Amino acid sequence: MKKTKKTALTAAAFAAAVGLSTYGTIVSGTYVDKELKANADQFDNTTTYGNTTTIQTVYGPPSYFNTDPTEETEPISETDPTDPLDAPDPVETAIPGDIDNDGQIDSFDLAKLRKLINTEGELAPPLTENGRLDYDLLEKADLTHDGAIDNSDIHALQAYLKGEIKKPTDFAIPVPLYGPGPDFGIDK
Amino acid sequence: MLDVTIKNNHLESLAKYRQKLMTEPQLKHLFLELTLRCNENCIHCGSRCGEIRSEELSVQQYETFLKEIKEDMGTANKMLCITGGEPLLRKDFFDIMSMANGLGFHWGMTSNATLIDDSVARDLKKCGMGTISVSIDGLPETHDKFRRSPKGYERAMAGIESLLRVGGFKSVQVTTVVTHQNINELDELYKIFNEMDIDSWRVINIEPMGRAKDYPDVILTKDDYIQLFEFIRNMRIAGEPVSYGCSHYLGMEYEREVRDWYYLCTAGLYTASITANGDIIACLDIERRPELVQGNILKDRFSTVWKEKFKDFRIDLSDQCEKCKGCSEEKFCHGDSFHSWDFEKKEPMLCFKDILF
Repeated sequence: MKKTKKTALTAAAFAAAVGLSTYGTIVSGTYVDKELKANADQFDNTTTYGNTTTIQTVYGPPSYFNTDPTEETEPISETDPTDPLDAPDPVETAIPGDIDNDGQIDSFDLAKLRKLINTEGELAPPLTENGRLDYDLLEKADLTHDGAIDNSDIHALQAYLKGEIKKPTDFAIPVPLYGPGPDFGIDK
Repeated sequence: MLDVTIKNNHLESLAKYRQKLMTEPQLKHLFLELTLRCNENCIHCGSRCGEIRSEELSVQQYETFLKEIKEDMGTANKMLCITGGEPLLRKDFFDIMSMANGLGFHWGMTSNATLIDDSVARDLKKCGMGTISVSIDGLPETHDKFRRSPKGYERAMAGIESLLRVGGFKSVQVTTVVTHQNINELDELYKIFNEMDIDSWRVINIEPMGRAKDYPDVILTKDDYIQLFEFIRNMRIAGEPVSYGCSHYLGMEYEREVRDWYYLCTAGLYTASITANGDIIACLDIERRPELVQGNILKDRFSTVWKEKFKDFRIDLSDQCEKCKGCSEEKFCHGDSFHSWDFEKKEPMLCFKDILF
């Protein structure tokens, strides 16, 4: 069975709940810590839950919970700033499609995305400066939300740059509830 | 166990969100029961497939219907969930799904996979199938006996291997219905599935409904339920892509621990279904009762039905249930899933209070 970022995060959440400092291949200081802290901040800025908090909130609904708590989809546009669940994101959020991280989506991003994928359509895993897998980049490049960086993401970015779709993520697949489970196709 | 305070906060928010959905439902999952014909005869079949003659809609009728959906509601954020019976028994299956794919619908399917070989898998990919869930209900002997299908296990596993060999699908999932007879086979099944390149394993309990009502000995005992949920949780702790299904409120101990989301019965909120004869209903697993049919796509415009009807599903079932009154979990459970609701006794046929919480 395929292990994914999502299953690793789930395992990490359980590990944290029982007080383990690390779990499996999850390395402190990489994607997990960063993402978990971000979500904790978004969820509740004022409450401290101890060492396990940041992971617990990631394991719970994402910060856009009020939109659709049963699945992971786009963040909602309607927000209630008085509601901590709807509080504005205090953490800089990655822009899907902004592969070169310059704050805008343009042909340079398409070129960089193409470099990630070889002629066989396979991903050359991007690494950070310290040699770890660059999950931030993967996150921004997975425009179809299928857990893979492949030609479908290039296609989506091309369509966005041509003005054929409004958002680079407009081709993201919806999540079926039954049969194919709720997280089917979404390894995020 | 994960943090109860956080879980409680999330469930409180979900309850509010559900209230909003009742007035502003969002169609996300549209089930198409293409046929009630089946080449297996499962003891647990909720549809009692094979016992009744199946009416079936034509390709043209599906095309008219799906074009209406696209015109009125769009195809974005919607998923066609193709089911049966065994959908692949229809000779015009690929005509229907190619048409749907051409209209821009995403689709996935549940299948017993016994009719899938490399050629069929390639055709499924060509006409846009994104996801598939295949039933494996035990080790070979148990599976074949349960599904009353000689060599059913062998053929289903060959079908899965074809899907994996052809590749290119968003996800290939195995679903196992757990019974009192096969619950002790889960560890062995895990060893088998773990050697395969499947994307996930959905493990669900047999429901006291459909044909299973005739076989009470297959229903899980209290100890079985706990064993089941502990198994799933332990798999997830180990980082395996194992999950329970969408059914049932599980209480604080297991909510969010055995699946990636919290309990929400989406019948009539996110989910609608078209039966083999074109009837519009909420969820195919809900008892088929005439008063629950909301319309028929051969004479009604689906978008109008979705907007103006389905009132029976945008309610709290617990309001009708004496047993639910005073239950501390009622605010999160709302009377549990529609598919396991006893419409005569007005109470859940399966409630996990006193079993899990």
